[in-house]
Amino acid sequence: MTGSTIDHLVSLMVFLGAILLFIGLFNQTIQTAILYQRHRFIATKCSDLLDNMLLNPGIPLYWGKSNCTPTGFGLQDPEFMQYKLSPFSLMRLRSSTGEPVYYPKTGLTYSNITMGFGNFLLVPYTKAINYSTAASLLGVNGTYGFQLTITPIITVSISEVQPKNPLRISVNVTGTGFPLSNAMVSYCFLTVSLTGGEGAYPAYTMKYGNVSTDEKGSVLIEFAEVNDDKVSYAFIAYAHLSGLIGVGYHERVTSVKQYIIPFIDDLAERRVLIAHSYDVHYFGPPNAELSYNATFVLLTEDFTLREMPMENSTGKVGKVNYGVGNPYGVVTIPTYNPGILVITYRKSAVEGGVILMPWGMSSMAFPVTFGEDPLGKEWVATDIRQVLVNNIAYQAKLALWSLEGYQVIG
Amino acid sequence: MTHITIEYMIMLPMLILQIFLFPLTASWLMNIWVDSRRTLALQDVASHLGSTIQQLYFSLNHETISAGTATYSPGLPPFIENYNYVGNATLRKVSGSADSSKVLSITLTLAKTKITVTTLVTLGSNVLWRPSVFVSNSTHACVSAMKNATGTITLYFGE
Amino acid sequence: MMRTIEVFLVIIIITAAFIISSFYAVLPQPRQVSPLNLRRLALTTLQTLDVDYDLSETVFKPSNDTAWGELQIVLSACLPPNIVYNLSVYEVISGSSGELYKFTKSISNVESLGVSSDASSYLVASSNVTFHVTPEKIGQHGGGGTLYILNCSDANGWWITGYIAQSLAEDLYKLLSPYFVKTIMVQNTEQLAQILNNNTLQGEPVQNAVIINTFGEAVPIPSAYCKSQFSTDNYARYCYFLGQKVRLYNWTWVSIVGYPFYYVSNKQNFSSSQNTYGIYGMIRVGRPEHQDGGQSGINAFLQGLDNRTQYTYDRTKLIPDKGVVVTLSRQVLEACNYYGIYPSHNQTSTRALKSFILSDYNLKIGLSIFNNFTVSGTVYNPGSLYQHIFKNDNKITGSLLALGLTRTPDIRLTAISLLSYYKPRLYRSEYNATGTSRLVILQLGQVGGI
Repeated sequence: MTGSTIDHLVSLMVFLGAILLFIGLFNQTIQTAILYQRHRFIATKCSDLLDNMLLNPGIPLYWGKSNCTPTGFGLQDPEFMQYKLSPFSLMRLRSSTGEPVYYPKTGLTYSNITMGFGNFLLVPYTKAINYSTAASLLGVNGTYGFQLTITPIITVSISEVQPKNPLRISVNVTGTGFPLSNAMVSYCFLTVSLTGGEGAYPAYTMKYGNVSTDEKGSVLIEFAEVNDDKVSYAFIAYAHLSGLIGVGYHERVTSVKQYIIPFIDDLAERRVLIAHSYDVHYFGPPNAELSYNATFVLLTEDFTLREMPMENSTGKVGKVNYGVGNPYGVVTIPTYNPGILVITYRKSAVEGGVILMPWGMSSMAFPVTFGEDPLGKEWVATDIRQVLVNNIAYQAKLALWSLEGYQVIG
Repeated sequence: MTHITIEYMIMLPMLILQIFLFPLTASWLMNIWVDSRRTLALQDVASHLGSTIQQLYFSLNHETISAGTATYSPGLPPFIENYNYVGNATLRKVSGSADSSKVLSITLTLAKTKITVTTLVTLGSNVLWRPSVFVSNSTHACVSAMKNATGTITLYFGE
Repeated sequence: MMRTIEVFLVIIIITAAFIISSFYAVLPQPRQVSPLNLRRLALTTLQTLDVDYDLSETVFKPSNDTAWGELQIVLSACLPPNIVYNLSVYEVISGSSGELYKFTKSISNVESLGVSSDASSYLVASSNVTFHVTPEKIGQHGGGGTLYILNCSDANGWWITGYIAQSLAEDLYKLLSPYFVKTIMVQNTEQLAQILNNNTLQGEPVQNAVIINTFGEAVPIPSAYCKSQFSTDNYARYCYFLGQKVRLYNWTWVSIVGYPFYYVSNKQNFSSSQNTYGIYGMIRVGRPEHQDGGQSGINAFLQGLDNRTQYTYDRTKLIPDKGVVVTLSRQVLEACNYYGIYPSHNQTSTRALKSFILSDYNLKIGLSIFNNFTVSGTVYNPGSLYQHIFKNDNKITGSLLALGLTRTPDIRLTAISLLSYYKPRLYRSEYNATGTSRLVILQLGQVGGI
């Protein structure tokens, strides 16, 4: 009798335990299936959200060229349809990769996209759209996180192979998959002249040319007139083949500690501040006044850079120095067409350089990274599109993940 | 004898309870999972519908488009697990100013269930919403946008 | 003991059921759950390749043309390395019988794209095809539609060096008449007087018309107005009267070059007067004792446009001290491609107008033809269409299109300015000639990964 009771008890306990275990196992399988369906939904949402960002210009239409905070988020160029993005709307996205820069003379922090020395794009936080604002405008705040990266398809890498007698510059053109062979490369070679007495402004000369890349996507360009490795220059190259366009640039400067840093001040008024680098990165005395000469160049349809004259009254030339009592310079970009602000600077008769700043993201094919980092997220869906930003080919990629913490339990 | 009585007093009710309990539990769990699946599918549909309406608005809002009407069939499934769904929408301003953006709140309900999802679409200030209902299994189910000469775009569901 | 054995049997049965169901309930691969939208990627790739119509040109070239090799290079360069493609081109065959699409050529970077590929199609037209274009008429949906071009034989022009007003009028007629419901050449100042009195010339609607003054800095004046009241301050009062009429009839007055309303011209009434540069039949507006009196014309016009009850002699200078090279705005640059009118992007402007006139005269810029510039802290508009809109109102009551450029005028700028503002659409007819269109299908697949 006692054995029978124990038998019943044991069997019942084991049975109940087993039943609960199997319910748990089946539950896990079905929960995982539901979770996969949720992930499928994230993938569809990613595709829809990317199209929403790229196929609508936002509200108001021309928010990229103004200082206002948009009430609808969109990156499409309002003057076009399809996947053509506004170079100015992209400029107003707060970069999530660059280290923010603080400029004490304005008291503002700036979103920083710097592509090597001498290539700066610094937009004040007060004018840049931050990630949480964009998420709210897109209606995904609190439900989804995202990262939008817009990278140029064609990469034009430029390096100096020989510094003088003659100057040799190597240009390599590659795509996301393979090199771009037999591509036409149109270049602009700007040399800085530092002659003149104390307090003189730098001058510059521009030279243009066209070459083609070989089957490996490379080409070597020589400049016999450069016979001094102390000559500062900027080299800007446009590579194009069958409608695909890429941009590359390279500078050589002789004054690397004291140089000019341009900060965007007002997007509607197209105002740029010219700052002394010591106000941003202090290297220690002695400091020298820098004189600068600014010009603005536009890319034309035949891939040459056309200079747009800037009036002296808007700050074409000027002087800046470090510290209190030495205000920053101000230049006004003369047009809303995308181009490059070229600032040559002079510290002394032998030290100087040149700084490039894109006006409009596409002018120097700067990449854009906007949003949070998807690293460590449970499930990230991605989608990509080929887009055009002022005829420069870019690839837009959106990574999307859920913030609602769904996971399999048990 | 006494032990057998106790054994029957405990075991029998437990066995009878299990006959009811197991199917009820399984049914309850399955309902949760099925509801979850249907909600996801409905959310997918709502998100796609919202995205379609937004793109239709921005296409018509372009300055090269003058007055006219555009109708778009969004290609949504007519049924989700043999149930059709019905949608309606309301429009509200984001802020009090005259040129404030507007938000269209689209609500979809799966017929004969209590599953409802809502999605929000941000539109410009020049949009109006004509009260209408979207019936998924209707042969005329579509989204329409009408732009008049002043640039105002009226959105509505076709039936 | 039996019970325990039974329970273990039950456990074995349920385990077997779980194993069998797990065998069939295979979870999909991550790539199936969260796929790339290959269809959209294919479509955007085709659109990117065709941005300068390179794709359209290549697909019509022979199979052995080097352009196909370039296309293959570009496809490989722009697609990610794990994407394989197959681009196929089909000729679209018109006619009621037989096949619709005939395979022409295909390029690919792999033998098979696998089961999970997707494709997009794109229709391209041969560049040899001439499309028939039907432009939309400005005003065909109501509200005006008349273009008056001043072609007055009894007036002289100024700052239209190298041209005469009549030749400019003819060129403007050829460029713009397809876009307006009715285009009328105003042949003499008498006809100008007729329309100023709201009388039609050929049954056209006078209201909401566009009037192009082809006489440059001079404006024709009918004989009826070459007399007192209108002659006050050397016909600055006439300019005020013109401004009133522009507002009353909601005209768009177009000044093609230089300083608007600087001179008035009537060969008969001013036969013995000259404009100080030897052109007879013309008088400089403004009091003769004021060297800068000519600037009173535009000020008077704006007063009339703004419905100021009292005319006031005002010779405030509205232009900068020097010339500036200006560029066409982006909107107009894009319109150049749409309408096929290509003036030079850069022009010299010596007669840009100060932007304070916007606030002073209730004006709003309806179109910036050239980008504005700043001299000594003052903003100038070298070429703009100014709409007059009273405060607390949203109706346009008259407009002025002023191109403040240096002579000699390029009337293509006038044409593209008006077209950029009114934006009449061009309807291109469908092409159906044989061999003029091809269908390009780009199929993409993914390799590697899970």
